[in-house]
Amino acid sequence: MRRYQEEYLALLGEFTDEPFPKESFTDLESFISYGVGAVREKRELVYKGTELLRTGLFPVLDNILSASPEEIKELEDFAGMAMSGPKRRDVGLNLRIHMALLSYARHRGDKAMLIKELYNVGMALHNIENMLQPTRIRLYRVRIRMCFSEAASYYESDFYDKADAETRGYIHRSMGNIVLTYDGSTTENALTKLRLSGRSIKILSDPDVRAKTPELPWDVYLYKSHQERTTLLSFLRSGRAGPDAFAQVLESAQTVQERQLQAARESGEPLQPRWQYAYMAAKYHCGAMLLSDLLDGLYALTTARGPMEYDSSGMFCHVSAPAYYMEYSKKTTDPRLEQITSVRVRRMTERMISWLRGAPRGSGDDQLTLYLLQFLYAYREMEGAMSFYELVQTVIACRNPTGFLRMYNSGSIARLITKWAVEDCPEKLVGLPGIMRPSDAIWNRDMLMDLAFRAGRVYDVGMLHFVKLEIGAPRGLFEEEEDILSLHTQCGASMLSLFASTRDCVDVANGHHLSYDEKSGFPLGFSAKQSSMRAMIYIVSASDALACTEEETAGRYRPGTSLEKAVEEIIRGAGTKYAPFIGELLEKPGRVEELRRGVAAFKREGFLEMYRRRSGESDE
Amino acid sequence: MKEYLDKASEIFGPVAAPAALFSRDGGAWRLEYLNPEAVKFAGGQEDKLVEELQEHLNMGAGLFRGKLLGKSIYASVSVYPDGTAMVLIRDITEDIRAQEESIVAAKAALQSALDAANAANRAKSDFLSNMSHDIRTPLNAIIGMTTIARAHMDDRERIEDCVEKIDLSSRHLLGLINDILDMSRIESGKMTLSPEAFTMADFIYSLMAVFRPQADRKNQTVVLDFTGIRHERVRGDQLRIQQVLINILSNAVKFTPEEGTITLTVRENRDVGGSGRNYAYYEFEVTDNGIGMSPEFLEKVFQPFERAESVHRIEGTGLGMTITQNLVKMMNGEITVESEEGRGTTFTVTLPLEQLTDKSDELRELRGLKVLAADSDAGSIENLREILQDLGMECDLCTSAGDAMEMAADARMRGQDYFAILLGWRLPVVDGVQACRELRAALGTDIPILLMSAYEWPYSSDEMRKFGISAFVPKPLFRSRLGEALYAYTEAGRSAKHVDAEGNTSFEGYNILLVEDNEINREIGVELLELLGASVECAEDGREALEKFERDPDRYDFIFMDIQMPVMDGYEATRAIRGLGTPKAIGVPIVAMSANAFVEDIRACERAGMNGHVPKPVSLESLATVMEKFLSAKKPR
Repeated sequence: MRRYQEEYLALLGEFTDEPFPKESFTDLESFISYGVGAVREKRELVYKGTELLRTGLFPVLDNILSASPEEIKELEDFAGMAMSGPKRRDVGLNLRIHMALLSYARHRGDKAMLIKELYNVGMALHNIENMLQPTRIRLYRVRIRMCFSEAASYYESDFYDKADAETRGYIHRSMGNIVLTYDGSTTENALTKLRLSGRSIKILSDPDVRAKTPELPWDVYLYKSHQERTTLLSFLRSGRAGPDAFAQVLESAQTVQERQLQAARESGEPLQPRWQYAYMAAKYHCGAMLLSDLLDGLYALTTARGPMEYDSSGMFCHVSAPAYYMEYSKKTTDPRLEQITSVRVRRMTERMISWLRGAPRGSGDDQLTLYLLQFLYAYREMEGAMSFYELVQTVIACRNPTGFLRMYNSGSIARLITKWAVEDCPEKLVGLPGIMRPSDAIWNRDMLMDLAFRAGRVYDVGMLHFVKLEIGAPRGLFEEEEDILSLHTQCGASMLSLFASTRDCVDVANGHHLSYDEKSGFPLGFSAKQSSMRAMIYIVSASDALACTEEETAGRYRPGTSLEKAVEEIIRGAGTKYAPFIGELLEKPGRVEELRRGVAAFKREGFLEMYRRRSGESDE
Repeated sequence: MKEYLDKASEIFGPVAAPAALFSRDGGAWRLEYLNPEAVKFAGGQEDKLVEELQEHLNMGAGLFRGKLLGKSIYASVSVYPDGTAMVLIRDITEDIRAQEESIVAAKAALQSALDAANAANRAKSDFLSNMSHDIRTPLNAIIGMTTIARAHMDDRERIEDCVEKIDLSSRHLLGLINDILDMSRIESGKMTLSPEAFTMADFIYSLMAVFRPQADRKNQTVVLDFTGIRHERVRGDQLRIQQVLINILSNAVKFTPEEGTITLTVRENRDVGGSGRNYAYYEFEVTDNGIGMSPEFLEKVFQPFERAESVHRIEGTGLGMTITQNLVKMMNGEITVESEEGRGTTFTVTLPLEQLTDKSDELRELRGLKVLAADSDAGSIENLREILQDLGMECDLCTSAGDAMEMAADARMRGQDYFAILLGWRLPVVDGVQACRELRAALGTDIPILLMSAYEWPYSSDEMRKFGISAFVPKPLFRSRLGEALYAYTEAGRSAKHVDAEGNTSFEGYNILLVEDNEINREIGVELLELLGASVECAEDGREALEKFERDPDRYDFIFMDIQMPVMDGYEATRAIRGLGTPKAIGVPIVAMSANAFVEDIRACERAGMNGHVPKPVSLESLATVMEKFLSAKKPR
């Protein structure tokens, strides 16, 4: 292994997902100073890792087609190690290396390597696309399918008989993985998934096929295929599944269940909670269990692990099981069940937050992110339960503290700009909720300032999907990673649109990266000009730029620019990137000074609020 | 203990429900008190009751519905801060029994009302409920295709295909609804026909769009044989013919077990018409190897509401074959059936259809052109030979991609390239897609390569381009479809539509400067750019690129620039070119080709004056995409 590879892997190992410790601080100043210092140190690691890859890896990838066999082997090992580190994995780097190795294999006509790399690239893309769960956005579905399909197609070629056991293994794994690109969201999709799973299961069960390569772990492959087919359980309740679909899915559910029960018996441990859930869900989806019984069972699961258990079962019980509970509870309108559910939602949320606050640093990572997103998307703002706005603030404070600080800053700055706008140009705020005339803005100043503060504190909520991507590895972002990150606006908007407490902020989340003239930025297809919230979109967009002027809120690659420079840029970009009225507001004498004083105060308030939410303590 | 008892009596005093009080003992719950109602509820099984209650307590506070000692109960569990917990139980066994009894009674009443209604109106309700299946089939096709179309909003071809199928299925659905409404008219023979011109190719494809998914669901093999069709353009009531065939084919699916085989054969018998028009009989034969029919049932197969006794589970209106027979008769045709129980059934429908003139003017362009075709089985090859000969084309045929590659290479060496190459998708050893890649690598982009397959083509046009495929021709092959696909690549066809052999925007006429120090990368780059039709010149480092550009700036339309190079790197070379200050030097698109794929590196390229970035290793697709951004199609020189 090359030196740069060893050094990078070492950096990857010591890179933590967030800079703030769980320990209590005696005073706010030391908490702030610790946090700022940690962010700075982390940025240094990013610089170092970027440079290592730039000088060590990229020259090899640049000329990959003429790389030596040793270099290829080292790259394969490096890519593998980047995914199997004890603490964290670098999915983006893994993809980049495997894409290069795939080109190399194609160029060399090395079929065994080609098959392996098709599988590896397919898996790397799948890992990246997983971050987009649970939205319906699927960026790489076709590419993933093509990779796996191409590798799987060798099953029917002469090469299969000549291939070694490892290559045959990749062929069968690819064949099984094609179904990963079907989520069963439509009947067509579910039926295709059923058909492909059925084919794969048939081949994997064929004794003749197995006899050709007895050393392959056929039962594992078969089990995985059954596991994937079990994901179609919800399709059974859709009313679109025929008896064949029922038979196939239930057969798989039963196979998986039996395997889990057997494993539990052998280990002497009780069945894992997630399999308890799967068993109940299977019974419910095939009509053998009432919804009320499923909900009772799920609720019992949410307390099946103690509040200090941070292993995967603890994570499932505290975060995922409540999410399933809430999702299933949406299917009933029975007032009795709804009444019980409202109490349970409150309790489950309290327990989840308490668990999250105590969870050790880096625990769970990818899985926890997915579970938390599942929880947030499934959440129900019921009577007596916490609002989604409050809930998501705490989740952000725990999972993405720098993001929390940036949004707190943005919200506070947006509130200040709104105050100025009410004073100087209330006509620009016409169109916002309840503001029909400029005078409405003056009479409703506090409401508008509150709206700005709330919008500023949730506009970047979509970044929760990409916490791992944004802060996961000690290096700069690759182009495709930046493309994925740009989806945070849509992800955030889709999340906020689900809840009464945040619905008015949807357009702000969607449009905060769009330039005022709508000629640059993203997302495509969204027009702030068409939105009744346009004034707030412009205010938050400028606030975002002004909020990134502190060490702890700037991007990961460069320290924050000065407030004066940020103001200058907004004034210069007025009419193109930023709304003209924002530039005018900032140009007024004394405004920059007021902003500077404000930002200093907001910083302290933000840290305090974050500390409170992370620790659960109500005061300093 | 006393304070627990005090507390319990204080709590339970007015309560008549079974109740229990527990206290926390380490990790377990210890029973402190069972009230008399709870003792009564336990009926001598107090220990078991306590054990079950302890299990409930482990799930935390809340309301539960479940079982205790086998009785249905509601239980309310409250946990107090001092470590005590109270469980209140409500036995709902009786409630549930009463509920069940009332449901049974209500059901019985309903059933009797329903029986009465059914008895009074059985024929009508049977008809309506059974008919719903026939309505669902095309409706499912419409819903399915709409879903597919919605999922591919940016793929025009896919959407067109879906819309076409939706259109066909909608028409079929409309036809069926009309049948229901006009049932009396069918029986009294008042229904009218609507003859229109159509091609057999379109007809069969639309028929398959409705039918094939049904057969796929039962893993049945569908064999199609249209070798006997000479004239494809005909006039007839397409909707009625489709209705007839879908009825028969759907029955074949229903009565054929999983993994069975259904064969549709279409033959043409000339010279049977009269009245001065050019008529021919078209014979549609549907054969299955299903359960077949007994001689007794065979006699009444066309009578209304008849179904074989043994097939209760199979859905159907019992009207299908009656309608079918009536429709065939109306079209002056004939329907016959042969069947043997346990062996299968053959329905034969013979219909007279007016034959119309084909688009032979256009297809005349194909005469004398030579085609190379490879397909996996002898039947397909023979069919292909007949169609190509019918089109007046010459052809060389083979059954493997290897042979095809050799024959294409021979032809190139003789200087007699084929006009086009047709490849079956599922060729043995090397499949059609792979063969296409190899052929493109060997022959370049001049020769159109068309891929033929009976399978749904799963790739978008971009993906096809990546594989080097010019077009996709669905099987079964028809003269009209294949002729039109090949015509697009004749001189006349191309002048109507500016495409290169791959059906892409071509960069022919553009001169590209490729700056790359690595020899292999240079070779690959040249090959890919030439595949896109461009001419390429190379420079081995930034200095050489700058000198070449300075010498003849107008010579280059586009520059691909490596970043890491000896002598002068890509950033410096770009800055130097832009620094020349002439309009050409400022305007020529320069795109980086580099493995340095950090966003910061891409920004650095932009700062140096480059217009874009293509990550290495490069692909045909990535080069074409970036070139399309800056160059318009086909530069006239």
